[in-house]
Amino acid sequence: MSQASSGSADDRKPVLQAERVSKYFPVDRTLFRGPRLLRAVDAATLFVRPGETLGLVGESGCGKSTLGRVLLRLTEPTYGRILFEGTDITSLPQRQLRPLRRKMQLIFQDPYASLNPRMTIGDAVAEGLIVHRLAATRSELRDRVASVLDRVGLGPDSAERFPHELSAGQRQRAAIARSLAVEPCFVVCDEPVSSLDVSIQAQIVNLLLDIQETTRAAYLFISHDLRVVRHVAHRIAVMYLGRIVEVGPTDRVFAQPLHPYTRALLSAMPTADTSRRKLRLLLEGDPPDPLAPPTGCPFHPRCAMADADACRSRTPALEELERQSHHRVACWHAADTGSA
Amino acid sequence: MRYRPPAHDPMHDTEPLLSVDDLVVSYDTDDGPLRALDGVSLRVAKGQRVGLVGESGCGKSTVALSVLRLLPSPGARVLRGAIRFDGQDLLTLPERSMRAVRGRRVSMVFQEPMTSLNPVCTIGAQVTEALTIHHRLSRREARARAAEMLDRVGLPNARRQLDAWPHQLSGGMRQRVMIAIALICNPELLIADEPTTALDVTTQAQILELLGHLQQQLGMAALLITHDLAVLAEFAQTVLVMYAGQVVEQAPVDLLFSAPAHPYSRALLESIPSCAAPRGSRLPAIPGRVPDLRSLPVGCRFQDRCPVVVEACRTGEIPLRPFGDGRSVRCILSPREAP
Repeated sequence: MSQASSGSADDRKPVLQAERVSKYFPVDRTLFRGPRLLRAVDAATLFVRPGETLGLVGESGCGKSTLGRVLLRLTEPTYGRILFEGTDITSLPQRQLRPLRRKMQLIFQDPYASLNPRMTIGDAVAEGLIVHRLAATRSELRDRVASVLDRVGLGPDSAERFPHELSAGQRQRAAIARSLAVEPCFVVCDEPVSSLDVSIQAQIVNLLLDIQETTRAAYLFISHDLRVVRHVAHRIAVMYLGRIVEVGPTDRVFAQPLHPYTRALLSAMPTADTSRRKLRLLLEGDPPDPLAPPTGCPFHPRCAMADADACRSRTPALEELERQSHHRVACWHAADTGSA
Repeated sequence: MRYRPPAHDPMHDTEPLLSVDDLVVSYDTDDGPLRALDGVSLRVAKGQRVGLVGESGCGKSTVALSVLRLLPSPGARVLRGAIRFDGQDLLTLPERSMRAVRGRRVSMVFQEPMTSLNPVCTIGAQVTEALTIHHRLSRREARARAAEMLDRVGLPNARRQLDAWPHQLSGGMRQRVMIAIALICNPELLIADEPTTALDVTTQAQILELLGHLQQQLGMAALLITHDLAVLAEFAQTVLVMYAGQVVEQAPVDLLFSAPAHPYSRALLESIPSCAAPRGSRLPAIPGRVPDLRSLPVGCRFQDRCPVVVEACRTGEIPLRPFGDGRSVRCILSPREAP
């Protein structure tokens, strides 16, 4: 929170930058054969600025959660570079990484699984403060826990409660309090509202927006719910089979999606507005096996625009179609759609 | 490809296929009985698509389980009410006759395609099971029918998939298999409990399209249960909104989405992020949470979260009252009076 509202120049500098980050998992190793590589994340480049939310969308198994964990170095990247506040943390030893850990936090989808069932909410929130030595005395610790719980809308008596005594929405508030207590400047929110009921989702989305407004924290907001992402994200990145296939300002991507996969995703979004029901662009089949990804563009087997030449043989790079639009797409045919 | 709801509401002018009347179901818990359903009534006409929406714990799945008589026993009790299917009273039917209904005339698709399939049986064995039980087909005939059904639900290489195991299929494919199992006996009513919740959006769109397509082709009725209003907008003709064990609004789908009458329906619709709301604006969240079914307030169950609550809401039981436009609302303020 130190750099809060200290000026726009500071705000433009990314909190977190990833350059061609990849994570390959070796699988199926046998005595006679080396492992096959599962490319969970393949050459992902992105950045997030203070006070900004980058939405990361894609279907299950596309590598979005792995990317989130790699950025926090909870999973070690195979290739690429990660910069946190300008410092290269890609190969920083754990010891030196620890002070930075305070500033990067993670909120999980399932608040029940991410809170220790045998720890009171108060203890869970205090844990981070103790580890990072953020409270000098017992009473200061208690005060800080109480103020954080109050900040997320939990009453003071909730500090004595155990996770099972709380509702799902309250548990997610507690999980947010735990992350927020150590005053992070970069938070990976991994499907933070997906397991909640609609009416509770809105409460938690509002809370995350409130917190960002006051702390200027940067969010990487991972979700498969495009409606929520559109609402919270300034920019949006679309992943398919480990690769970022499109990234750009949210309004632009929603108004003028350039990648055929993004168009299919947007079209599949259920809409509550019955008058806007439209002809749907249905994707055929399932995402391909990540262990045997298609050659060339990973989307070409399901793509209506794919041609026999470039799409099947060469992987398109993420490129800006229109200068200064900050809207990048990895598609050989993007120029055709962009002008259409 | 979109299925337009018919102009009239078939619910009121034909004999319903399924009718649930004033159903009260209670679960035994450590803290005493809990009324999961309190006076729920609904009707599904032949070939009609009805949606049931509400938050977790509102009782929507209990409705489905009651109809199929799959409520946990001991543990759950039907205290009052009637469930009639095609003239038969399902609640008093002997178990033997019930088995002829379940899976054959009324079938169900569950939420979790991962856990609803038996991991140690092949796809073929699971799809043909109902056929061999209900129709006494030979193995060969059953396999041919199963392959045909799998092909119909869009499973590639259907014949080969008969020998596949559930873990070899993706989530979307498994849900297609679940649908094939549910439809193999040509049921007159399909109950789908959150059939797309565990799936990705693009797969969800595929499955909804498939369900709607098959429903029309086979002319069966469908009861779709979900927490996602937008899914119902795509699928249902009539929607029932449930809250804390009661139906609070029942309306034709277009009417519900264009002019929700109950404050809860309205709040639910508003809390979905829409294209119209500016990015980063605060969503109109419903304050508080669903009341504990063991200590319900007197009067309207939504009173503590309702923006238009008045004194009269806290005094007596609020009935579900029909309005002229084909809907019923459980609110003392009529749609015209409520702002």
